Amino acid sequence: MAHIQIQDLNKSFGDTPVLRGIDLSIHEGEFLAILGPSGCGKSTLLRIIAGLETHDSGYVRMGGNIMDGLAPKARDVAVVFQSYALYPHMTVAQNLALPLVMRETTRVQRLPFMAHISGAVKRKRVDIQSAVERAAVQVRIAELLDRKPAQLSGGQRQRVALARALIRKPKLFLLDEPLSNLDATLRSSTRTEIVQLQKRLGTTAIYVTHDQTEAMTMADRIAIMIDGRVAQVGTAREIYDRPKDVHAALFVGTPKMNLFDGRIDGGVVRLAKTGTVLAHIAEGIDGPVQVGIRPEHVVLKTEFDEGAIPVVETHREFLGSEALIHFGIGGGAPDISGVARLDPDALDKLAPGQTVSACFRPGGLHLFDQSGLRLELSGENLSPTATTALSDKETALDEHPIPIIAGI
Amino acid sequence: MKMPTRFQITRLAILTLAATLLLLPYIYMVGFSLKPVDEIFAGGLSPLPREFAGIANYLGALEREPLLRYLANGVIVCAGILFFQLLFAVPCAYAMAKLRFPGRSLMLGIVLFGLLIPIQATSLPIYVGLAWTGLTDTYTALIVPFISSVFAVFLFYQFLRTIPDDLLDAARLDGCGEISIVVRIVLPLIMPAATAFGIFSVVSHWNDLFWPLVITRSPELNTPPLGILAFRSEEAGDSYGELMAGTAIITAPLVIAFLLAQRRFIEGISLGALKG
Amino acid sequence: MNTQSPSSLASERPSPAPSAAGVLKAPPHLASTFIGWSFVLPFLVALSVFVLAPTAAVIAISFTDWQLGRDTISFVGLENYRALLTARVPRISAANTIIYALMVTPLSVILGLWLAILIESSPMGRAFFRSACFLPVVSTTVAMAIVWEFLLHPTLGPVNSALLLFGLPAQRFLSDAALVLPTLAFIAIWENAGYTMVLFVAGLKSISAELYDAAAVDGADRPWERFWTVTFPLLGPTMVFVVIIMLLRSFRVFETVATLTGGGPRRASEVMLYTIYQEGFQFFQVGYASAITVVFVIFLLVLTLVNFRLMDRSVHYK
Repeated sequence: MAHIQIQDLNKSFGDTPVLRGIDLSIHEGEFLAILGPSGCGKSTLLRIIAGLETHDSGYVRMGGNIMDGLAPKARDVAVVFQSYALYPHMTVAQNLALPLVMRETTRVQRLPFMAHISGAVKRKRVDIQSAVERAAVQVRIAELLDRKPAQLSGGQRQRVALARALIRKPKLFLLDEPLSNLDATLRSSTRTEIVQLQKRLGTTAIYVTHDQTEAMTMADRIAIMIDGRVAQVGTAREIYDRPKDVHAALFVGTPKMNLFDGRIDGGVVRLAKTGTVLAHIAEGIDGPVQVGIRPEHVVLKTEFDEGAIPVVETHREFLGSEALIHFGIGGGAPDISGVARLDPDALDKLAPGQTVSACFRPGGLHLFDQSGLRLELSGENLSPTATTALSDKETALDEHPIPIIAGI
Repeated sequence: MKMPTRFQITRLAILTLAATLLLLPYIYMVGFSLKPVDEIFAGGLSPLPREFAGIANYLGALEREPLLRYLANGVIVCAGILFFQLLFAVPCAYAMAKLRFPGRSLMLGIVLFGLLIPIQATSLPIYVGLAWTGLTDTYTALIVPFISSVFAVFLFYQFLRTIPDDLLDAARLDGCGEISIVVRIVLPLIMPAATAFGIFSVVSHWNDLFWPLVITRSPELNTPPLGILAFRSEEAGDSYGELMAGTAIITAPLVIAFLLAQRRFIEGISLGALKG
Repeated sequence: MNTQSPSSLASERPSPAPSAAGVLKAPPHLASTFIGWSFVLPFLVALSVFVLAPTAAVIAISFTDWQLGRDTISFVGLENYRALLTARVPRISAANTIIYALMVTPLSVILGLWLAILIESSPMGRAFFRSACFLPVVSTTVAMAIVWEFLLHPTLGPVNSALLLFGLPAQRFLSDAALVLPTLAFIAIWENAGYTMVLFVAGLKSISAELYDAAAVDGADRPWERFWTVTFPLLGPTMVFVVIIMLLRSFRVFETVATLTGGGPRRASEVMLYTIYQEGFQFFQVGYASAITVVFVIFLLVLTLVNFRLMDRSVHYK
């Protein structure tokens, strides 16, 4: 099993840098998702790991060995492509057998009629045949072995692609958006199946996706890639709770994290637009900052406490298990907008267009400096202001609904 | 839109008449190949024999000239040409469409330039070259000028560009080298285009008269068109029944092949129109 | 997986890269250059030997007085081209070729278009008629020319029998200088109508049925009206394409002339390719024949170039 290490990997297409100094290490048996918007270089990174693309500088190591210049077939990795890349002229069984045939038999042994001449070849063919059948059973396509890819549904093709990858027991699975061509229902059931399969086989897997749900539900760890760089590596929880920069913060979470312009002035964090005091911090960093608050950390109330921000509801979305309130800050012409996630029952207590007060839950405040990097504020540094103090009361108010409460 | 029946009937009548006129030479060819000599010399319009002399005519034709040998020559020459055309063109088109290497765009330019040169331009120098090397009047001479088909490369290049790269990458990961990819993946995928090209190539070389006429002298090397010409000059003006039987024999293979795979033939030959 | 295979098969599995230092191979870009060129090179060599070099050679030879079998060769500049302009045979030959092409092209195109529209207008019998019309295209021209020769036979041929039946005088189609070229053109039209038909069918298929519906809504629903309002304008690109293809094909006429007339009577059916054949391969005037070839090829080249330009713009025939 492989321990994959990527060091300072750079790649440009012509003058366009695609990967800039990627550092990443993947543990044995780990399921790592590379999450990023399209064009961030994640597929290129995958292709470099697979040996399908060359890189300009840096290293890819597998189990300590440098992979540079090693042909794809010598790397012992398997790729599941977004398009599945099944050979259209071969049956499912032939598709599955090809990787074994190419690896386990010599050129001479592959000649037709060799099975009739040599016992060893015949045994190998039988072995390959049974390996194909076992792999087909694993992904539940045993009854499809004689079909051609054109006769299969999208989900079935996807399974064939999976089987073709796992049949030769590679050291590493690389999956390139393998679920993006499936419909929503199939996608969520296949998600679980892939994870279970990977855990059972214990093979290291790298999973490239632009879908945060896939990344968060499937992966042991997620690497967020933005603009050719790894923005953050961590568990879904770590990335969601403590995003290392503004891009990672915005990329994970639906709806997106609210982002407001703010200022730090002598340890006081204020909202730039209204001057509302949001928090007191110990560190003496002054200057403009970006203030991030996840929608579920926004608390809306009908009472106006000191330090609360008056906001106007602009639009509401009822989603069944939750509700979203879009609001504008600053009375008259709201040029700053945000969104709050509420309990759906709370919608009844809020008249559309009503002005309410907004504050946030403790620990829900994220500060980013001007270059977008997270300003680390340990809990103690965040001394409660009027705004944050309110949230103590708010937990109680969740049950006794006079004010309107956001929350999970 | 619903067609009136009157239109249908008129259409069928006109088309039947047109088709009959177009097929008339075949009807006469077969009809007269079944007639005895005296009946032919009596003249007349009817293609139908009153007295059946088919067996005598066909056996006579086969006896007079080794027509089957000429057909075999046609097969050898066409198969040889097509084999080498594919052998050279498929890897070349694959490399041009799917591999990155310096000089690739230069190759593309050469191929486009090559498309412009008609075969007639090259026959004199090739003839001279073959004469120097003493290769005239051989199978080699019949085959070799046609082995590098720019048209095939162009066609396959266009076709291969539509194949997703993922498929080839998957093959590389599955352990295929580039040669295995050509044999196991590209060749099967290219089959529709190769079939169309193959039909085009075989039909045009089977029917070609110019080059075989120029390059061969020995009757043993006669291709089908040369063979039927030899038959006619041999025949000295009397046994038209045998001559028609001979032309029927020479025409038969392609006609039968066409009737067996009409759609593919029409596809393949109209593809040749791209070449001009 | 807990089974013994395929790990039992894995004895030949390539071992992972030993180390950075142990990897002995060309850098990937050199490897792909090598593979790329080794796939391209066989074709390129064959192309150079059999197409590129001969093309250059034919131009070079056309400036010499070379005759095959003679040891001397000298540069004569444009002498061959001057001779070409003044000599009788090439002039007749070029004129005949052009007249022939101008007879064959329009008639095959019109006949093919007419057949295509008629065949495509209803599914009934479509496949049969299409194949019947296409049969002459696949048939060996030389063999069918011999059949035609017999059909047109002055005394025994059914064509003359038919003429006599209608009280018309019998004709010597292939040995009458006035009739020989039209007769050859007729055979070519017979052979090519199915070819142009197929190309037009492809063009017709690319016209959306909705356009006919739209035309019908607008009041053009009789077949003739539909033809002029929708079919004909939309077939424009196909039409030009087919005309050029037919010009190219008829300029290259050789088989029927070589089989039936040998350029006669009295050069009345002498065409360019036949002249090249005679001068180059029968009289071995290689230099002179090369000059004719160059002129002939330039002829074809211009048409091919026009064709390529059109193909770039429209792909109706696909």
